[in-house]
Amino acid sequence: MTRITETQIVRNSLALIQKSRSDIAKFSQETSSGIKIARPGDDAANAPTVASLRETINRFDKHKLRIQSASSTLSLQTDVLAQASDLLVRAKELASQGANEVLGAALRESLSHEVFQLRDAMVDLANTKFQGRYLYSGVADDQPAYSPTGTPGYTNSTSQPGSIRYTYNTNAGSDLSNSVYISDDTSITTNTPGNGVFDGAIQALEILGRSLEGYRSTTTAGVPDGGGTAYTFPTDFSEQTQDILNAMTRLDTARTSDIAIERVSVAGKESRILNSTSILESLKSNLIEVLSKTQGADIFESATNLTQAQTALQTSLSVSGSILKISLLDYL
Amino acid sequence: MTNFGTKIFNTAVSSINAQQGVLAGISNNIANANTPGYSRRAVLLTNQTSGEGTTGLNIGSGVKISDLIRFVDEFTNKTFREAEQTRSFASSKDDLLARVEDVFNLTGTSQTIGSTLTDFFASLNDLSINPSSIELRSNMIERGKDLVNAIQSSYGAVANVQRDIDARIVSDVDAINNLTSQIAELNLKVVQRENSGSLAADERDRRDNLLGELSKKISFTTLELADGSVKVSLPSGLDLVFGSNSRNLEVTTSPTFAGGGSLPPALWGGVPAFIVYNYGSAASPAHVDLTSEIGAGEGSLGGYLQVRGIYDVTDTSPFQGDGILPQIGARIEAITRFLLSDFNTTYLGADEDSITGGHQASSADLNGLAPSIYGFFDFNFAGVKDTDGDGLPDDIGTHAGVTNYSSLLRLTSTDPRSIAASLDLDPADGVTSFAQGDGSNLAQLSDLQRSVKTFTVDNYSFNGTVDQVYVDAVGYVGNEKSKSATNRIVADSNYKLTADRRDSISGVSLDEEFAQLVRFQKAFEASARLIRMGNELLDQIVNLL
Repeated sequence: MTRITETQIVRNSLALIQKSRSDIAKFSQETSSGIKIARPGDDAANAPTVASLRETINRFDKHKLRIQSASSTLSLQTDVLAQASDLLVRAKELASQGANEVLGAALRESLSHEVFQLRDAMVDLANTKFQGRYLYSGVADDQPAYSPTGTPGYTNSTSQPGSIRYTYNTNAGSDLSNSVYISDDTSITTNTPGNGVFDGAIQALEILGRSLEGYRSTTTAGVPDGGGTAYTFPTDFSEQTQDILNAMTRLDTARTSDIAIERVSVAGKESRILNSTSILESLKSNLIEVLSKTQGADIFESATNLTQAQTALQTSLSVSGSILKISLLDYL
Repeated sequence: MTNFGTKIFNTAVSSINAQQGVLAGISNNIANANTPGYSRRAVLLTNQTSGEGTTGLNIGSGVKISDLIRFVDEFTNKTFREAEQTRSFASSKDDLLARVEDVFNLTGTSQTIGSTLTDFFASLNDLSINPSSIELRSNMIERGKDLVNAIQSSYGAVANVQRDIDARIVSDVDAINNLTSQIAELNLKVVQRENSGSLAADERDRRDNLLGELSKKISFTTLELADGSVKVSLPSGLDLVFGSNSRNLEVTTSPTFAGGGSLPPALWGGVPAFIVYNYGSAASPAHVDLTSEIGAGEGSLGGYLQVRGIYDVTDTSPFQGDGILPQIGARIEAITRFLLSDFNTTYLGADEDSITGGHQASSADLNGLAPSIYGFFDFNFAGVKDTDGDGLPDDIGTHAGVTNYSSLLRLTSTDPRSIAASLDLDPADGVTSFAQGDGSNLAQLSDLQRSVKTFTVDNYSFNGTVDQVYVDAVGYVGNEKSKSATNRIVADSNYKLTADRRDSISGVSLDEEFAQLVRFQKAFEASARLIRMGNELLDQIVNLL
């Protein structure tokens, strides 16, 4: 028969009490924090997964914040392009009026003032700023997209707005855009070089305004180069009418091609952003579920375990107290 | 004719003496019931033969103490010591790893290298939206600082544990020397006492206890020699105790077997402690390296060394140590070196001028200035950083005196304008043109987070992304901690079993002693009664006269 000494009983009782207390500490921590893998050693097999999931979820959160920022840029672009389109519609109305030969040269000249106002409004739209940066200047966004060309402006013009010629900035980077990641693998450009969007519209408005004002516009490769002589009336009246009609065609092209294409492009980006947000939400939701299953403590299970550990401790204390008190000495 | 009256007296007296002797033994057992290492003893009695008398009857002459025995089983004691060694080894390892484990917290409530890496690359992507935004640039600088702080504090925590272990090694070796010296002294006493014919029970108990204490520190073998002394040797055969002599171990950071050459650097910057035996003199030492041998064993020293890492004297890097901390440090260092080398190389952009020698940066900050070679992440070093002069940050590992970069890591500049987000837009050699809002360099840097490469730091090699290096570190620490925790549970359980087994042989049971107490007390009372009875008999005879 194995001899059992008091030391053994004390050692085993203390070990049991210690084990119960350790379990209580563990399960109460689980119950209060809701986490069962707090450190890598808690579950070596799942710790790398937990670390990876946490970083991925964190990254997705950052993508979502970035998407919100990109989204506000695109939203602004949508508004700008809608206004640009409206300006071109109004310009076409003025061109239609001006093309009517019932109007004399003087009345046509009076229409030119509003056309140049529309041109300036279009330049303002092209020079829209977002968070202090020019939205349509490519990556040279500290400079306005369009600025008056000093020499030469339009020659032979009598009115102040008509003599100003706006050209897209030629600073390095004005033809480039920045890419922004909206998910781990997808990026979009949040800005568009303005020349592809506004050149046609501004040039059409300038040609129209000059025609109504009484001046031809010479072009180089279809782009007004600042030259052009004054019409001689009444000899050149029909030529002026034809130039106004040509400018109308340019207005249509600018609206239905340049601006409309950019609107579709921006709408496409907004749609991609929306999709990305939705996918990120869905992925994040799945990852959180996986993380919760992997790292999260089952509160009911933890609470049950805690209760069991408390019961075990009470039993250990009670049994140890009873056994340790009993001694032959009490009966001698 | 035999005088039975006298015989009764003599027998009773011998019994009183014998029972008292046994009771003294029992009282000693009771007194030492809780004395560590004490083995219960028993006073053995034997009947006293007389051989006298004319009738031929040998009634006997009472009782006498024949022997004193210790209840000891050497095999059980040896098993117990081994269990103590394993338990001490497992607990020291587990306690140290628990400290390291906190660096890789998984609750998401504190900044780790993993979370700051993610935040840093996210801030870099955020800046792509508006590369000239000072607010977004400041955010990237702040996230960069967070990353540097996380790396430095994580590496610092690992290095501090290693430094702490070196301090513990010194105190453990002192304790070992003290123990071996006491064991040698007790050897002498055991031999002296037992040569005189008596059992050196107390000395043996104390020696067993000291051997138990020694087994908590180190692995060793014992051999009891014919004279009763115990020889204590390291597994390789080097005797720590032989007879009344003991050998002292030493801890040194300037071992003679290094030949005066350079010594391996520790993670914390100093020289890792070597455990040696000096067979020379204090003035002219000649060391034998015992670090590997002790590190391969158990006891707390084995645990310390396996966590700290065992260095060969020819090692030149703190990450070459064979152990857990060098492996964890190597993973952190791999991330640091990625930032210093890969990130900075990409940060410079392609070579702007293929005609001029060396790499010319093609990126620029908001002031149009090109970054320095270690352009975004830098390290504290007073000497020349571009040691090969090629204009690229590919010089990691070539800076004299720098043994790790993690503790030296810093941001090159904290000025938001200094972030080189843009790339040269002019393709001509030697001619640069930059746009304020250009973030094309950020796009390249962002891709780095997803790029798979081989990370190598001395013995550590990993193929994956920089994020995965961190996850690999978490996995490594988790595995080691989990193993040590399991080993600790097994060792504790085994220790308890062997301690129980030892106690079942050598431990004092108070119930048993009380029962014996009563038994021998009764015998003592009966003997006393005999004397009274003998006295009455004599009285009756005297009264007849």
